[in-house]
Amino acid sequence: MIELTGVTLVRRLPDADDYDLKSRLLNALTGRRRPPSRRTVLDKVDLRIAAGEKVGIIGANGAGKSTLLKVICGVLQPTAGSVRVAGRVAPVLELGAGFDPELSVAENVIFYGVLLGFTRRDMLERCDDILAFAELEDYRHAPVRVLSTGMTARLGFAVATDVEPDVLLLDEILSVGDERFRAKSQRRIMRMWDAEATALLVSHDLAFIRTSCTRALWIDRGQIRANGAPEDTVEAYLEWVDANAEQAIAKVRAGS
Amino acid sequence: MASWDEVAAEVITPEKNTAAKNVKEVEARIGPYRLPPGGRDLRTAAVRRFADVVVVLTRRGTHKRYRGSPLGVIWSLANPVAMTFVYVAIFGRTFLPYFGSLQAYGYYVFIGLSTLGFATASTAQALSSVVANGGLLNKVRLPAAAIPLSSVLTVAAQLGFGTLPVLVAIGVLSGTSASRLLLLPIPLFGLVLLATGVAYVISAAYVFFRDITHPFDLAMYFLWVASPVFYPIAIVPQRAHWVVAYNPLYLYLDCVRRIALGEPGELVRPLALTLAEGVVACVVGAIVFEALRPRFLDRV
Repeated sequence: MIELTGVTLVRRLPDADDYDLKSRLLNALTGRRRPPSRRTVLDKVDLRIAAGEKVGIIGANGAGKSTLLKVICGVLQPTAGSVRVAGRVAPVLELGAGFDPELSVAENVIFYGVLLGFTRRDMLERCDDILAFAELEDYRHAPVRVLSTGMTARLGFAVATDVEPDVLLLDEILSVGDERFRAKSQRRIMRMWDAEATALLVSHDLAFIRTSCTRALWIDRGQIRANGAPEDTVEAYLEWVDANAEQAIAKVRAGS
Repeated sequence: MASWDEVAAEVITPEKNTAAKNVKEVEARIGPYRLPPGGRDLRTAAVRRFADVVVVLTRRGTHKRYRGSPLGVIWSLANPVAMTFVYVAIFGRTFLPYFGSLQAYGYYVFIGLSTLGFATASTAQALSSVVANGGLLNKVRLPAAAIPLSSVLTVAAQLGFGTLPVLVAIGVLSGTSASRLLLLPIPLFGLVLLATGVAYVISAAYVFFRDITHPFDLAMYFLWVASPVFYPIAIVPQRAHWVVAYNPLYLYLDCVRRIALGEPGELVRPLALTLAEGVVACVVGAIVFEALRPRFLDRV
């Protein structure tokens, strides 16, 4: 069960001279201190997701979709409002974001796994299975920097998805790797998908959201614009996209 | 009414750092917490999580710093050893009256260089650690306090596995009793605590002000000059004594030397002081760090 009540997240945008003690002191003395610019990334979001629901999240780039997932898995703390999540969360966001290029593949499995929230003992036990799934047993002692981009994504996927989560958070990730591995990774996702797990999926794959989700959210500038049957939400979103496109074209025409 | 089993994950998932606080909050709602048979204690889970993160970050740090081999730690001793020879070559004669022999002066210098070297290297390593791991903090849920601590521990590995055995060897060569040498870890442990406390404060300050590297370097240089690393304390004129007396590192330097070189004098009080100072620094540093932590994410 996931429950968000009035969740607002305001992030502070860094200024260029912000990090400088000297200029900060100088600005304070001369009274030229500008207040920092802030951006409301999530704006009073109320959301309840029951156990077992599969929710697709759509919206333009920068609308706050990934941020919503980060708030749910606890990376970001809301400025206001409350977040309640019951169950074990598996965040599959930004695969391989925690890899260290100099460490060996096996050490990275432990490192990344612990960062994701598993215990070290768990990771030591499961390391072999993970390497087997990623088909990287031969690279066990090689540093991650020698892996290709696809191999790194495979490794990240294997670590992050080697769980039976209660809540699955997927950010633009349905499958990774080449054609053959893609089928395998998609099978794993679908197995979790079909299990009891609650799933939240950020995707631009509207067809998948239509067919596989039980509900869809459309997020626009930090607010939920639509929340309902996938068919309706996707339609509303597409209409808005078309309208925007027409407006843009009209503007260009008017300007020329 | 919800059971503890059901809320267990709820308590630790939103913010594992504050598990203890959340436990209290849930206790208020559904009654006192009892460890379910065979279940995982939530409070220990948070501590375990912190320890796990410290371990993996420290392992990553030592891997980079010592190139992943125990030999790397020994290799890192090359610097203080080589510098000791340089100091003995240049100042050995001049300071001979104070030490009696070049060998004794060499021991004195090595202890100074390696002890102070740890203090400067560990804090310098920790200074930018939170910012350097800002990407991670914005991507996965981590107890941020593990970051500066693991920076210090990375350098402490050198102190424990490289310097300590050499200090023991110096003690044996100086004819110090084995029971006395057993005390050596105490001031070194105190020093690690002190460094951790300082690391917490400066790594948090660096998130807000990246140009504190300059005053930091200056402060480190000042400490270096104000510590009797290679000169005997006796040459410091009376009116400048306060410089050394108020130098927090002098206590640690002096304790390590008195133990290793078997110098006479009371040990209980100074040793207790090294631990007490370390604990106070660590607690104060952690409080400052945790107070500033909520503001890190938008700045790293």
